[in-house]
Amino acid sequence: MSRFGCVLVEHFDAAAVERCEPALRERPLAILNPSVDGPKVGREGAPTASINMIVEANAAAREQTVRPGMTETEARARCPMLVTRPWVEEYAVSARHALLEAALAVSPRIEDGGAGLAYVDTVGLERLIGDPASIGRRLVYQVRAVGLTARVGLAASRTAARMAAANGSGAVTVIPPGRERAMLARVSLAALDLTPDLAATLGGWGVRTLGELAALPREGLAMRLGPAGLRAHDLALGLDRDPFRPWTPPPFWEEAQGLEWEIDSLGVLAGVLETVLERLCRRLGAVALAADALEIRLGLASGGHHARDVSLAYPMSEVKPMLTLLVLDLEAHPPPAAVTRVAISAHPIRTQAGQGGLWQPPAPAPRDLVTVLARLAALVGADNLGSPVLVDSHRSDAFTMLAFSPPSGPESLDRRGRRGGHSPRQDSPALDDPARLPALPQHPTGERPQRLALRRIRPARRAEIETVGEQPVRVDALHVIACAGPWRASGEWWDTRAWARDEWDVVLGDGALCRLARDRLTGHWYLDGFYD
Amino acid sequence: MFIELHAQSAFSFLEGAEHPEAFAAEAARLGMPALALVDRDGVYGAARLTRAAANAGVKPIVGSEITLADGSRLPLLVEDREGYQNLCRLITRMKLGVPKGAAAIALDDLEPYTAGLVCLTGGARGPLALRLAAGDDDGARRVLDRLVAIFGRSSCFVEVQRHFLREQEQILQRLVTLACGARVPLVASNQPLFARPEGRPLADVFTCIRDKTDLDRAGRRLLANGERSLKGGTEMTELFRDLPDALANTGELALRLAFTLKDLGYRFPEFPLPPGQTPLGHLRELTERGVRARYGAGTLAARARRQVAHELDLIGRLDLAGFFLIVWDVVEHCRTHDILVQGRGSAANSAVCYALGITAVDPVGMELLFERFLSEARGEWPDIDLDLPSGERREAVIQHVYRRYGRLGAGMTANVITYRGRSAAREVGQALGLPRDMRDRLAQLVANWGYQDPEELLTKHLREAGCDPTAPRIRRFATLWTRIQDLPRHLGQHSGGMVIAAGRLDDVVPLEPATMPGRVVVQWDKDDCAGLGIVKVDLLGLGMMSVLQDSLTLVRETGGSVDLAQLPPDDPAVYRSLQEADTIGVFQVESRAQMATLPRVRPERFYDLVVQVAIIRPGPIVGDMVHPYIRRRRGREPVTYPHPSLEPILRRTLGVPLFQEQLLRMAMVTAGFTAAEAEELRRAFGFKRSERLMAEVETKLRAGIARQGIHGAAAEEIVHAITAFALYGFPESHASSFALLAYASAYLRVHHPAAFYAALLNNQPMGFYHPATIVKDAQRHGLRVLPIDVTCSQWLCTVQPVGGTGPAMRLGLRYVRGLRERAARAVVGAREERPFGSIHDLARRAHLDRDELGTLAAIGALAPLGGTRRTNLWTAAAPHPGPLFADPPGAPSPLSEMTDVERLAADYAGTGVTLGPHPMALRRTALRRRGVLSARELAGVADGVGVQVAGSVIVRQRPGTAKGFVFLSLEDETGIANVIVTPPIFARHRLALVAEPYLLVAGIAQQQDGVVSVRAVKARGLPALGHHVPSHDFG
Repeated sequence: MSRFGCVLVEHFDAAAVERCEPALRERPLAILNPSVDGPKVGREGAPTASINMIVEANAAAREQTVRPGMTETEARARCPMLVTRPWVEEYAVSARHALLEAALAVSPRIEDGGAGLAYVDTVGLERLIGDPASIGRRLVYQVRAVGLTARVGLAASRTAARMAAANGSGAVTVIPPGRERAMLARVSLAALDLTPDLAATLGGWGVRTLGELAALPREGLAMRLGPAGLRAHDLALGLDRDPFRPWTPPPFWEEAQGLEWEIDSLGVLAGVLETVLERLCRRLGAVALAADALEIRLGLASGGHHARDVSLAYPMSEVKPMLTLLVLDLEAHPPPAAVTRVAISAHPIRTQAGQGGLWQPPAPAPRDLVTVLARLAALVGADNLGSPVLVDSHRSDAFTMLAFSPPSGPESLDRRGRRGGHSPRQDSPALDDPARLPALPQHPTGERPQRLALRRIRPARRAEIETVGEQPVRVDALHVIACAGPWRASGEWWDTRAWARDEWDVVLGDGALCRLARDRLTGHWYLDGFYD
Repeated sequence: MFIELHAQSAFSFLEGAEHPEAFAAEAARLGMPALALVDRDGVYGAARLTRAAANAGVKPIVGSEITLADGSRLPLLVEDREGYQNLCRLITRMKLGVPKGAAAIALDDLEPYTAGLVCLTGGARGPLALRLAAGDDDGARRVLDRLVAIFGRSSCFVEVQRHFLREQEQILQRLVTLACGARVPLVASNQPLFARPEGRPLADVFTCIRDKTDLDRAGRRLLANGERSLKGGTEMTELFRDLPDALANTGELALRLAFTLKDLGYRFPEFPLPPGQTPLGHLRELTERGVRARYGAGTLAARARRQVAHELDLIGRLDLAGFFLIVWDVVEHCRTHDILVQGRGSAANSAVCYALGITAVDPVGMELLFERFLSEARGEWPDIDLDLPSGERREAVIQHVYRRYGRLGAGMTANVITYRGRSAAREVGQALGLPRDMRDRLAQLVANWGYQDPEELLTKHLREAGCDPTAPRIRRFATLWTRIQDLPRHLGQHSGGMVIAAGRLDDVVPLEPATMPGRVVVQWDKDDCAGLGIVKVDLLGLGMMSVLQDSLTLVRETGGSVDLAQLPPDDPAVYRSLQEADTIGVFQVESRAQMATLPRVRPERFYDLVVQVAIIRPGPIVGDMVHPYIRRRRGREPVTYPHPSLEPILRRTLGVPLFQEQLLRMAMVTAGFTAAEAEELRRAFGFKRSERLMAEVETKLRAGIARQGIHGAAAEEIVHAITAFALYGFPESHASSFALLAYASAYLRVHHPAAFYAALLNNQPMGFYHPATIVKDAQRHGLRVLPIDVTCSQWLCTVQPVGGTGPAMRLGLRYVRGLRERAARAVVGAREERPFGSIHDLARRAHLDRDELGTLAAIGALAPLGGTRRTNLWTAAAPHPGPLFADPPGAPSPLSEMTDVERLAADYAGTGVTLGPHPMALRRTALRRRGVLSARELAGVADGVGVQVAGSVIVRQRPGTAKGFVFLSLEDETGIANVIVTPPIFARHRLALVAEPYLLVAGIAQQQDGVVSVRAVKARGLPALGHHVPSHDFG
């Protein structure tokens, strides 16, 4: 009696793409995986091309000898009509879920066998569906309904069912009870996905099929190949030693609210959001989970949708801060039409309980900090929020913004009890770096001279400078009394962001000591800052 | 006046970004009368600067920046010869005491070496600036006081630099204060790393390579700006207008630094002579003895005596007798220690060298030009290269020279490793942050850029590599890749050049440890040494010398005897094999191109072989000499000469100039050049050519030809022949020496195949072909090749007598992949004690691991112990019992026996060769049904017939001289078929042609003088049978 069905979708990554673009089914299709060591994000001028490798090819492409592991160039040389698509994780994940859900529609006990593979416990299904072939056909039908084409094998073991699915002649292959070994005997050893070493050893022995492997004496195999050899032998005999691990669908963390009237005010919408969030948070709290991201999806009176993803800076399950963050985000990105439906889904994670250190100064509650940051971001823009960090560059005004993050624990405290990382109270970067300070003569007594601090104007202000030769003699309306420079620097010549500038330190007629900068690429002058 | 006293070239490895020559040229352009090259921890670039500066009219000043123990760097400049010797000894002391690449010396240790040296305090990495930057002004003052105490107040200068940097200016002010306080004069410098500002990107790239980072991450380790170029007096005067003394002092100091490398003080070591004998007298005595032995009596002997007398006269005048004696001494050492040795190169032009036994080619009989070897006007040491068997025997000779002249009296010449296509692409790509796969792809592709397309070369190649040539980084890559070519990366050692000196060599040039233990390397390469008159003897390892020596030993061991000096000169079987291009494994004439020419040249005597060796070279090919020569040889074209006066020179090569010696003689005869002028011409047009020099020499040549009354087309023809050919021309003496080895190897291959093939396989990798091809060639010649057998194979391949068919060759255990040499020798040792009783007995006594035993079983090497390959594999896979236990009862093997294809795959996988049928033989029936010809059948096909051939690809070549044509050699069970692929066909079938191990090619047969090749029309891969033989690709 058949106990298991195996649902197999061949060339799964290609099938996942075909599911989204059905027109590709009849054409040779290859899935590409661009290099992981690709161009850097945000770097203009970085190389635009990289070597694409084929990670999967559909049956039509394989007929043209396109195989995974080839470069795109080679594949195109073999198959000029080849269509390529990049590998997209979302496609593969949703196709995998779809396959499992389709199997679940036939049997309540299924196992996730990996991408493109699902095992189905068929015990008892005969009374509901019919003979094994009917069960197989039902499975094929269900899988086709979710946009995939499957082959199904049914046998007394999962391995036998898989081999039947992979090597059968039709869409459904049933191995009658007791015929497993005979059916498997013709299957190539490569179907077992053995480790390369084991496959090489068996290849050297002339073992090419599961039948030949199964025929080897078990004791002799155990002595020579150990547990790996025994497992391979079991598989060749169609015996499953691994336990069946039933798959259950992941919980659905979404709450929604349909509205009988249209909402066009954020204040009113906030009330609905709160109601929905309360339901969601109660569900999360019941299983001791928190959310670290929310997705809000608003149905609009115009027929469209307005969706926003809101990251939570720390995992939470409290309604209030969540609501504040959602409202602030919607303030910044309001829906284009009146709202008729609200749905919020949460990305749940398990939080770890912790407590502050004994010597740790009281910190603001995380929810308050997150709220403040969100408010600030709404005010000044997310790109302008964080703590400035010096960039290792000869460019004297180079810095980047490091996003704030809530304290992660007592280990981030330094010896003085101050929190590590970058805080807004940090000293001015210019003061921390002696190399960035203007040169000063050595004090005659040998004492360390008092340092000047540069009050930098950000962004630097364009200035009208009159020069003699290269040297500035007048800044706007003021005469230059004394000047030092130029201090010359240039960099990033390899990129589109190449820069070159001269800096001058000048004393103006009104006594001000300031820094001027000339962009050597454009010739523009800037007032860069004042020395205190 | 400003003189730059702190220039750093690319010989400050991965720091400076310019050749010394470029600095010299720029200094001349700027009107700077002198320039000091102060590279890090060495005088690597000094010889090249000296040569270039002399041409540019700039005085070269020698110096080096010494790394101190605290990490700072102290520039030292050489004032006189004593100072130079001190500098060399100091650097040698730094370098020899520590591992390669790590050298530093404490300040106090400088004290014994300061005489004749002037010290500057250095730039940003100088000992003062480093301390001042750290705020340690007192420390800086103490160091300055110490330097003054060590070098003396008059030889110590505080160095100041201005690169428009704030922090540098702050330090400069404090340096000035320090110098005033210590009453030490200032000198200004710019410490240039490149000649012109455009050099800055490459200096930044070098920083990245040195620090193993990329430009995006290097930050402030990169240069702050582009001000580190060589600046002239005007610019520096403007910069240092507040410190005029600092500028003026550079000029005064430069005047003081009078030393140049012309005053090196090098002396050649003296040879220990018999009492009362002079070097020349002793040499004369040895030579006369040699002439008697070599020539006996007769006309040739009389000519030889006259030639020897002429040579000895010149050797005496040039005081070179000692040099010849020392080389003779090395050769004698080899003879007495049974090490095969043969001189090559221009030394083969010398009758003295022949008489002394240094060379083996008779220059008198072959009318070779002695002046190519030695000329009074050239003022150089003669160049004597000795070929030795590579490996341990050559090392023994090198160590003999060290012992004889002392560890500090001899050293290997350096080999400057420079950036070339592949390494340049990889490192520049990495510095630019290109993704790894793109770097790999670029590096792989640049290796094939030998063929130069006429237009948009680099852009096209970059596009081929999948790059967008318009992207800024890719554009930068192209520029930097081009610019970095030929710049030094690090120092290696020359393959065999040794220099020796009387007394201490480290008085002449600093010595460094080599990577190979027991060796030291001088800081100059062979050209630098030659340019400075340092004598060099090349002790070169030649794989074929090892093959010949090993063959002789194997012949002797099997009761035969061959004397290379007494080989019959015109052996018909040898010439027959050469004419049929049956030359796999034969020295110099085994390549695909040689094989394609041999049947057309049809060598019939030794001189034809000399021509054959020389003719397949870029020079004759580019100069279009090959086809005229072959046409004339085949009688299809009359033998003519550009001018009647050239007939005696060109007669032997049928009016076609092929050898360098002919070039020299043509210049001497047609333009009235002296031997030295002719040699100057050769060099001007040689490998390191300079446009200016070439123009000068060509003008002189034309004038000379006109003076001789030759005008018009004849004059043009002569000038073209000389100038076009000079770049790659091959010396006749060199070709003769090589032809001798070619003849000897062909002789052994024909008459002692077992010994020859065994020796050839024992010296792999070498030559042109994979061992699999060599084995199949041996079998096709009827040699019985016996398989690897644990009961009788040695580590090396051996010759063993077998009944009836003459000696056979037994493959050695070295061909078992994955078998450790120690384990293999344990197998041999254990079976000598007593025979192996079983597989487990073998494993136990030879300590073989399970993988080694498995491989031996798979290739059939355990068969003599009983069982088949598969049964032995089953047995070998079982854990073998320890020494205290008996073998387990032999259970029958459940495995089926190997098929032919499986045996073939197991042979290739386990040994790289097979003694069974060739993979193509296994599919011959199917191929024959499709009308595919074998290589042997192809040989009989008429010109213009459509054919199909198939085989395993053993050679793929795309020579730079072939305008994009690709040549393939396909091997099958009957021999080798040649395929020619035109550029359009290559473009259409590129993938199959480049990647497929087995090819089926359809095309048109081309027959030329008995050589049949297929001009491909279509090509496709054949499914591989198991493992395949790697081909010799694009080498």
